[in-house]
Amino acid sequence: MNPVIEQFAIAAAVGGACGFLLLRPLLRRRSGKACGGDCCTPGKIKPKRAKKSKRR
Amino acid sequence: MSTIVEPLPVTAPARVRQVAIAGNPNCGKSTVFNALTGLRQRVGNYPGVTVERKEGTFFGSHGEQMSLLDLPGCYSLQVRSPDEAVARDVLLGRVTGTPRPEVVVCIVDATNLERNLYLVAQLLELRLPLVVGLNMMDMVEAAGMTIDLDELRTRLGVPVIPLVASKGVGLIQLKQAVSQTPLPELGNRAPMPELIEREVQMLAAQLPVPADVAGPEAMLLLTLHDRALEELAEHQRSVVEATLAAQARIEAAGLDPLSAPVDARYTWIGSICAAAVRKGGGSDRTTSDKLDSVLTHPVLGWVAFLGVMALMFFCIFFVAETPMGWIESGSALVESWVVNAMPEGDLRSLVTDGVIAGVTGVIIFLPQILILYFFLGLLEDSGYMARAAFIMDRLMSRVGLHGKSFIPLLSSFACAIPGIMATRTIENRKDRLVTILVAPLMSCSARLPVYVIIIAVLMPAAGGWMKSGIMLSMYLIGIIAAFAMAWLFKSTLLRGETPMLLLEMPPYRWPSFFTIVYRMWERALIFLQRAGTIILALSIVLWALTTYPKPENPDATPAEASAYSIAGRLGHAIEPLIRPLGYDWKIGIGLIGSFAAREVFVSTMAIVYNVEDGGESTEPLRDMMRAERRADGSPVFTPLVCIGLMVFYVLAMQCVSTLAIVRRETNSWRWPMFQLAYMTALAYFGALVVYQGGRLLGFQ
Repeated sequence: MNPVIEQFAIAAAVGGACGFLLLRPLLRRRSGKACGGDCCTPGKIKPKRAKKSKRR
Repeated sequence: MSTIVEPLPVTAPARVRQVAIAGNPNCGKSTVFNALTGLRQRVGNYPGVTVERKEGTFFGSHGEQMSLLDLPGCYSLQVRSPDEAVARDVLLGRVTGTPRPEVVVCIVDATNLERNLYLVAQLLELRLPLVVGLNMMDMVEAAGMTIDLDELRTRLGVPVIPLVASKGVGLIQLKQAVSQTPLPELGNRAPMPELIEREVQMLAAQLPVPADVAGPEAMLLLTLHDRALEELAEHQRSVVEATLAAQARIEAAGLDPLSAPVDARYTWIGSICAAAVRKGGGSDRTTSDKLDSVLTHPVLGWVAFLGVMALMFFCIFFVAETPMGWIESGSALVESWVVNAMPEGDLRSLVTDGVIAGVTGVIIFLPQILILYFFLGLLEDSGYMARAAFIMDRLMSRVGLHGKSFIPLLSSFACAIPGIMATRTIENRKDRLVTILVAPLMSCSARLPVYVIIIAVLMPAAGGWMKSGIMLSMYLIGIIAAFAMAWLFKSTLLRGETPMLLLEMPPYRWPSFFTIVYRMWERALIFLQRAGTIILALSIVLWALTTYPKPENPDATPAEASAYSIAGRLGHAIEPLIRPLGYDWKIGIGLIGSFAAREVFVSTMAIVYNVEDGGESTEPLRDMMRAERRADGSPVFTPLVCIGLMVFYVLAMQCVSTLAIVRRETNSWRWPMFQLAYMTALAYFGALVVYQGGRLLGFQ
């Protein structure tokens, strides 16, 4: 592999990881999740819609 | 021919009706909320699962959208704890940004009608349209009781809907009742003594609140004792003085202002129950009572508790072995595929030694975490949690811990964050703070991977029972440390009397398979999400720290290169501090990484050993750790180092998220910082005592 591409890929991965770790708390706080990862339920389900009545 | 298209009439957007669900603790409010909204709020068979208001939307019987608030359970509107205050404040429209509900659904445990109707009586005094949901009707039938619904409707003056919320029975009728236009009429109120009614009206006229809540606010004020009145912050001094004067006038007339309204409500409720409820002729001793005679017995109760815990840990080791093996082989397969597909170099090392070793090193423990949650779900859903709280209260009250602390402490076995939030059920501020300070000493699920890997290094050939015994000991060390620290805090920093435990024992129920499986699924998602985000990012950063800078000598061995890296230098810098604990610099790096998340220890060890190995080996981490040697050829992971390391993880505060939630709950950085300092010192001291004490006694 081209050493320049290899070094670039590694720099991008490490930079991306550092950026993610630094920005994550700020983004979570902005979205109102100040409590870390474990107390928030993922994958909220949409509310059930009432069945339409067949009567006219 | 041209067609004229008339514009559709512009209609104002339909107003969303605000509906609130209230009721006593553990009567099924969240089950009704989940069934109506399609959300998956946590439910459990013990009081105090919901401590915050939860909001959702649902569609009424004509398709109109409605907003639904699930309020924490409360026995009455005379609140005793922060979670009960949330319910009262929402119902009185005191919460900024949350409109006062237009209709209240009061969920009532039909098996315990008399006690539950007290809150109904108070809600009727709020002059809000009310719908009563009579839940657990199947248990009423099973107990041979009958409830005359028509009589109940007539006496209360509001719609009464029979429900079996867990099976979805009666939900359509409940939807129809809250969707009615106009809303249900205001019901009947418990007749109060004339003097009380007059004083309430006079006091209400002086309150600076909207007219619709003035009466209920005045009634609540009138039934507060002097000290509680003095502590009120939301009312002016003149209001407090007017209340005290009204109370004095009532007392002068020979009535107790605090108990007279309570007595009046109970008299009314008594007459309703006498007319509407027919008790069955069966034995008074229920199955729950029979089970309780064993499970809450002073000796047998403890045997049962420890037996349940031991069985849980045995399953964690024994049952999880096979799926862990699958994940391990899958990881080795992916790694060998990457090694064959990519040319040798730093990028391949990043993928195999960093990403694959770091992430799969943690994912491998998913089956064990799911088994832990399966057992916790069984215990919560069956109603055993309240019994465990009862038997532990005998011990907890001796160290000054409030009996209600048990549920938060037990929740902390899963994760300290919901455990700390559950402390809102504790009325006294000092008791609540003590519980918050010691809750993270309970071994959470993030510690599980660390214990499992170290136990595997400590005794690779031991059987499931032996390993689960060591694991149980770690959990017990956490419990003992929490009790000891609670005693210390209660006798120094947070002195105060410990109130008696008043805990409702829910009846035993068959756990809901769907609820438990859903909770396991939810945890699996959270765990995999963490592995794919934080653990992945940390693994990449840790790989870079253990790889760069590279030594100038191109012939340096992987071990020399690893020691030359930033992580190696950092590890060597802290080595003098951790050497008394028997740790080398590599363990030191693992400890530092764990302050982001505990399970990162496993990833760090996997990365450090893989990088040092030059990515040559695909053997499991435990074998690499067992083979690790010091400069003099002695093994690094001796029994004393392994036990000391586990003790360190039991006692250390290594979770940024927990610190953030303690900051939120205590409204100050002082307590989380204190918690971090005391727990780190305790962990260091504990590991030091194990290692140095063990050596003094001649162990290795």
